Amino acid sequence: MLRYIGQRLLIMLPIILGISFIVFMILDLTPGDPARIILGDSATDESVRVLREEMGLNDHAIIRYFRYVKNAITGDFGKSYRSGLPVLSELKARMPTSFKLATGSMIMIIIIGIPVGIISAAKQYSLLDTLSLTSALLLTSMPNFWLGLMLMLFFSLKLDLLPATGAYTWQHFILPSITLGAFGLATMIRMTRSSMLEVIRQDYIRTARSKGVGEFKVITRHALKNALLPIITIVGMNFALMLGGGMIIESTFALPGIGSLAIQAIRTKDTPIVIGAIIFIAIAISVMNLIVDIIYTFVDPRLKTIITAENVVK
Amino acid sequence: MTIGNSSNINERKGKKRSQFKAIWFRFKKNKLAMVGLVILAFLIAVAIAAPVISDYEVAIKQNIRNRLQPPNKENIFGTDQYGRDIFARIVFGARVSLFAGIVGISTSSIIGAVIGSVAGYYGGRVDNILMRLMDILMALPSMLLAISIVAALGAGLTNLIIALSVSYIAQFSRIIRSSVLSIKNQEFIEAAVACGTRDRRIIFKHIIPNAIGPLLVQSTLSIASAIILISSLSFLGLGIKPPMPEWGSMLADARSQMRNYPYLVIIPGLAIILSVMGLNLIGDGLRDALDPRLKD
Repeated sequence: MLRYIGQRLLIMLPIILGISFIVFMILDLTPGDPARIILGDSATDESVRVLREEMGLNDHAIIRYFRYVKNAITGDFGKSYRSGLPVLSELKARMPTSFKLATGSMIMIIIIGIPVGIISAAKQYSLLDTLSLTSALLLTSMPNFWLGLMLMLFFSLKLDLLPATGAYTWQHFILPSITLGAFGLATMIRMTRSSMLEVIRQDYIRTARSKGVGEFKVITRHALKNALLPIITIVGMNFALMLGGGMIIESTFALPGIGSLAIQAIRTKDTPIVIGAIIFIAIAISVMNLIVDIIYTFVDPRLKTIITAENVVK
Repeated sequence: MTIGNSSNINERKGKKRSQFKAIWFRFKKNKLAMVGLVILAFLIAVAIAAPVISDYEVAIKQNIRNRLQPPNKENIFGTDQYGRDIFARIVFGARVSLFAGIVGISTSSIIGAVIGSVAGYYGGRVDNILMRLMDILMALPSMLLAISIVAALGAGLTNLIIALSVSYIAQFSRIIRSSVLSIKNQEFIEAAVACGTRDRRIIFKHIIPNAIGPLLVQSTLSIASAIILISSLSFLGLGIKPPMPEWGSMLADARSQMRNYPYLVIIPGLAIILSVMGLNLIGDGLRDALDPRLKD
């Protein structure tokens, strides 16, 4: 197992490098001279030229990329053009907010999505089933920032129950978490439902029922355990989606997280921050995928032998 | 010999048509999918007939004296804070969203199909290199990739379409590759190879047409998600440049007025939901029609 994790981490390396290369090259096309951005419009051409030389901006993009990677290995992701602070410390300062937001959404998805999906499957074609499927369809069809605006409109502006923007108390995270998790909630309901429906039709469920196991126990003990695999996939996938979608939600609710930092940096052409934030998110996604794969092996021990067998072949 | 051959071809054509018929038959029975089709047809009609239904001038011309009018007889959806008619902006916004979504995803699916089929058909090193590249693209959520492309190129319709097409390539190439892998070893491909058919012809005439089902489903669903992506980018001020009417940028404009004029944010949102839902319903219906076993 440890060897498998090590191997997976090794595979992550070229992917992260590839991402950083693509993102670096794409953002290199950004118009505007960084030296000019740092010094401001009032600076003389001479001082801009000196700073360009100092920052090595006159080198070819490939050379600059390798220099970036070399520095990044030692934890130096450059400095923000705007604030002058190191990118890493800016990201670190924003991390807790993004993490809280993602965790809040995850919790909501799990505690609402799984039970609703199970009930939908257990009572297929009932009113509740139709209702949950319709709301799932609606939730997947709306842009999440719009849902955020609607929640803000009703719970903050009209009813004055919850704060609309900022990140001061845990209440501030309720609306953003619901908003960010809405899409994931919908996929979770659908996935849990269809995964459960498949399992419920299996022979061993009939066996359990016929030997007199109560319906509740059949669903929670016998069926759910076997339906769990696709559900875990959804959890992992959503985490990745949420980190990307967090950009918009954080900006909508004015939460000082990594996503809103990135959007702000894009607007102000603060390229080091943009690259740093995107690489950070990509790493978070890769790690999350790895964790999901490891959890798989605990839920379904059969996969463990496959994974170890693959290792031997490789 | 020749007779047998031609009748064979006829038989094949007949079979193809009936297969299409069977899919359409199953699709038609799916009420939700038909609702989706009606919604999409309606929206496309609105987008095409936009200049007839409304006037582009009304959609972009500011008229401060007539600002923030709630829905009334003259402006059935009301006017925004610049006095522009919301109905006209919604109608012309349909053009932008549908056009950018369809063009972006079509480009993406064509490029993805070529990459995926080349990778799947040749296998080996070509496959390895192409798929590792796609892995890298897959590791970035399409939202992130699109945002970084737009950040570099700047806002605007063309750049938005470029960003969309790049962001979705990886998904399409993956899907096509896996269908190609399952088709590649079937007898009719073997037969084509035995006849000395060139690779390019095999890929375009025999493999891609047989792998088109999953591609079609994914394209429909991707257009839906692309419409959300377009509106999200415009909401952040990174998508369509004003004054071009776009649903997401309408929402961004309306935000500050939301408390007193909720219709400003509700109407564009409903337009987005309607179009995305229509496409999602069609996509789900197509998937069920192509492979009835998959249905829940």
